[in-house]
Amino acid sequence: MSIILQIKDLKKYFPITKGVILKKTLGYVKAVDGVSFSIERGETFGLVGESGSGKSTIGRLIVGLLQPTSGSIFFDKVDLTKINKKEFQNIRRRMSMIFQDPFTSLDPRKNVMQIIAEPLIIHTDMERKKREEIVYQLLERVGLRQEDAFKYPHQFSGGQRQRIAIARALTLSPDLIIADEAVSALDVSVQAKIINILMSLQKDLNLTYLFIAHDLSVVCHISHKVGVMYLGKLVEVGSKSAIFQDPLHPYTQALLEAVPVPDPNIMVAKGLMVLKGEIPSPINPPSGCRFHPRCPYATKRCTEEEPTLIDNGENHLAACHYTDEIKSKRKIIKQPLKDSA
Amino acid sequence: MTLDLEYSEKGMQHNHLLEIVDLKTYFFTKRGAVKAVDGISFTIDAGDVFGLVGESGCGKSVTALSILRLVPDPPGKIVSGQVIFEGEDLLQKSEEEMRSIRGAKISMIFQDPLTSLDPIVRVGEQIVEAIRTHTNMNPQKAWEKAVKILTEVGIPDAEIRAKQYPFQLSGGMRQRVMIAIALVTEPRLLIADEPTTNLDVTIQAQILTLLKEIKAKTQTSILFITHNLGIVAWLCNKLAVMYAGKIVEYGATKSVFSNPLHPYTTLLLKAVPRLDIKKEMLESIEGDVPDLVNPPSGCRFHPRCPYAKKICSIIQPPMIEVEEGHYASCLIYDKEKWRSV
Ligand SMILES: Nc1ncnc2c1ncn2[C@@H]1O[C@H](COP(=O)(O)OP(=O)(O)OP(=O)(O)O)[C@@H](O)[C@H]1O
Ligand SMILES: Nc1ncnc2c1ncn2[C@@H]1O[C@H](COP(=O)(O)OP(=O)(O)O)[C@@H](O)[C@H]1O
Ligand code: SF4
Ligand code: SF4
Ligand SMILES: [Mg+2]
Ligand SMILES: [Mg+2]
Repeated sequence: MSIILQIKDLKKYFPITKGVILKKTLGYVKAVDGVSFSIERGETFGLVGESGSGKSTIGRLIVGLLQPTSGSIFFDKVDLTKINKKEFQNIRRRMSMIFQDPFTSLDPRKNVMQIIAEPLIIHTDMERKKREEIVYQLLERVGLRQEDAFKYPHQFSGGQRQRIAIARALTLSPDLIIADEAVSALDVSVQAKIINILMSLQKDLNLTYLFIAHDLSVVCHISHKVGVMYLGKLVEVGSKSAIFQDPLHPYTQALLEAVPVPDPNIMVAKGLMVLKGEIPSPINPPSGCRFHPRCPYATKRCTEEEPTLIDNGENHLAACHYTDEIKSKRKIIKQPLKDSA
Repeated sequence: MTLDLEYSEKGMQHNHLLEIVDLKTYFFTKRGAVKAVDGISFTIDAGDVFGLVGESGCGKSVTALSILRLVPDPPGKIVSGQVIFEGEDLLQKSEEEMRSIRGAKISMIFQDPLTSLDPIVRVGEQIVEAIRTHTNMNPQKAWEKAVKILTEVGIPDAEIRAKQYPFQLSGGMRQRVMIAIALVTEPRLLIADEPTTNLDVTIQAQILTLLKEIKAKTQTSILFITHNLGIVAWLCNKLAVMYAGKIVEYGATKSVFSNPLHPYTTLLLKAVPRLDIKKEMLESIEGDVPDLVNPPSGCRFHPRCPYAKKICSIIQPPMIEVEEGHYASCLIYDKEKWRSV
C-alpha cells in the first residue's frame, strides 16, 4: 500500500492578542502541537478526541484553510507547505471536505444541480450535458433521485442534505475526503445510512478518508486506523483493533470506558469509568505529560518530562512513560504506580 | 449497578408519583397543527429513573414542557389529557399554583445550561434565589446551603466558584450548577432534558455518575430525556421509546433491551454503531422521520417499517402488553388482526 497523506510535526498556534491597532500578543492557543501521522491510500484514518483537542484544526490545515505554524504536510509525496499557490490549487482539487452541519454548508439559493456541478464549472471546461450526467450519477450513488436535482436545500431533511454534501465532495473524483464530524448531527437511523454510503463509496472508488469525530463508536465502526488526540497532541495511534481492543494510553483507556453501550447487562458489569477533572486549557497546557492532572497513574516524572510517541510494535504508538507497567497492571486500574506524585 | 425495580413496583403500585394519561400537545402553526405529542401515557414511581428516548423532533422536550406547563402558548397548547402528580392533575392547576411547584417539587435541567443560567448573576446567588423563592431561609443560611450543595455536586473550591459568573465555568461545571439549582429544593421529580448531549464523553460520565449518586442518596425520581440508548441502559430502570409524537414501546430497561418488541426499537438498536460488537454493516431505517403536521395514517411507522402490511396504514395500533409490564404499539402483537390480513 502507498501512503497518500503524511503530516510531520505539524503545529498550529493561534495568537491571543489584545488591542485593536497595536496588537499585542499575550500568548498562544497551541491548537495542534507537533502532530505526525500518515494515511494509506484507500483507508480510513479516524481522528478522535474531546472538543478543543485540535481535530478540526488538523483538517483545515491539510486543505489549506489555515496555514501551519510549522511542520509539513505531504500529499502524494509533495510537501504542501513548500509549493506555490497555483501548484497547491492543482493538488487541492484531489481533496474535498464534508462538514458537520448540512444546514449551513450548502448554499440555500442554489439548487442541487448547481451545488453539485459547481466544482466542475470552476475547475473544468466540461460541457453542460456531460456535467448534468455526472450529477445524476452522483445523486444515484448517494441514494437520491434524479428529480431531486432541481430542488433546493431547504426541501430536504438533514440526512438528505448530508447526501448532497457527499455528492458534491465527490464531483471532482477526489482521492482524499476529510469528513469533519460529518455524521455527528444526524439521528441514529439516518446516521447509519450515511455511514453505510461512505463505506461503500470507499470500496467502489478507492477513496481515502480522514474521518474526524468525537463519537468513538462511530469511529470504531468506520476506521482502519485511529489516532487519539488530547490537547493538541496525538497521544496514541494504531490499527483499529489495537486502539479499541488493546489501548495503551491511559487517556484512550479512559475514553473507551466512559462510553455507555446500549446493553444493560454489560453496563452493570462494566460500569462507567470516571476520569477526574476537567479538560485543561490549551493556552497553558499542563507541564510534562499534558494528561497528568487527570491520569490515574501519574507520577512525579509525568509532571516534568513530556512523553514522546513510542512504537510498541505493529505501528501501535503511544505517548506515555509507563506503557509497559500499565499494561501489566491494567486489571487493577486506578491503583497508582510507585513513585506516585 | 442495577436499579432496584422491586422497590418502585411494590409500595407505590396504586399511587404513582407521576401519571401521564393520553397527553396531547399541539402547535398551531400556519402549516397546520404540529401534533408534537399525540396521546402518550406513562407512569413514574418514587425511585424511578425513567428514560424517554427517541430521535430528533419526536416530542420528548415537548413532553417535558407539558408536564411543567411551560409549552410556549401561542402557538402551543395542551389539547387534552392528564398530568397527575402526587395524585393531582397539574393541567387543572392555576398558573400561580404551578409556580410553586416548578423548581420546588419538580425541577428541570436542560441541554444547554448557558441559556438557563443568568449570565450576570453569580452562580451562588442563583442558588440562593432558588432557595428563597420556595422557603423563607435567611440569606446567610441560604448562601451556606448554596456552597454546600455546590460541593455536593462535585464543584471543587465551591466557596470561590459560588462567587463566579457562568461564563467563568466550563460546560461540565455549568451543568453541575444547574443540577445544584434543581436539587437544592429537594424536588420529588427531576426532569433532565439531554443534560449531557453537549458535553465531552469523560465529562458526560462524570455528570451521569453524579445523577446516579443523587438517585441513590435522595428521594428524587428522574425523568431522563435522551437519544442515547447507552445512557438509558446504564442509568434508567424503565424507559419509553417515542416515535413521531407517540410512545411505541414501554417497559423495564432490561426487558426492552433484551427483548425489543416494536420494529422501530429493534431497528434503532441495530442502527447504533457499537464499541463492543463488530458489525459489518449498520442496519439503517429507510426514509425519514415523518412530518408531524400530516403524520402517516394508522401506525406512524408504517412507511418505514419492513414488516408493514396494508392493515398498518389503516388501524392505529393500541398499546399491547406483550409480556408483564412490557408494552408495544404494533399490530404484530394483535394476533387476531395480524392473521386476518
Ligand atoms: N414552539 C414551537 N412551535 C412549533 N412547533 C414546535 C415548537 N416546539 C416544538 N415544536 C415541534 O414539536 C415537535 C417535537 O419537538 P420536541 O422539541 O419535543 O422534539 P424532541 O424530541 O425534544 O427533539 P430533540 O431530540 O431534537 O430535542 C417537533 O416537530 C417540533 O418541530
Ligand atoms: N481560528 C481560531 N482562532 C483561535 N483559536 C482557535 C481557532 N480555531 C480553533 N482554535 C482553538 O484551537 C483549539 C482546537 O480547536 P479545534 O481544532 O476546533 O478542536 P476540535 O475540532 O478537536 O474540537 C481550541 O482550543 C480552539 O478554541
Ligand atoms: S505519561 Fe504519566 S501522566 Fe501521562 S499518561 Fe502516562 S502515566 Fe499518565
Ligand atoms: S403496526 Fe405494522 S407498520 Fe407499525 S410497527 Fe407494527 S408491523 Fe410495523
Ligand atoms: Mg471540531
Ligand atoms: Mg429536545
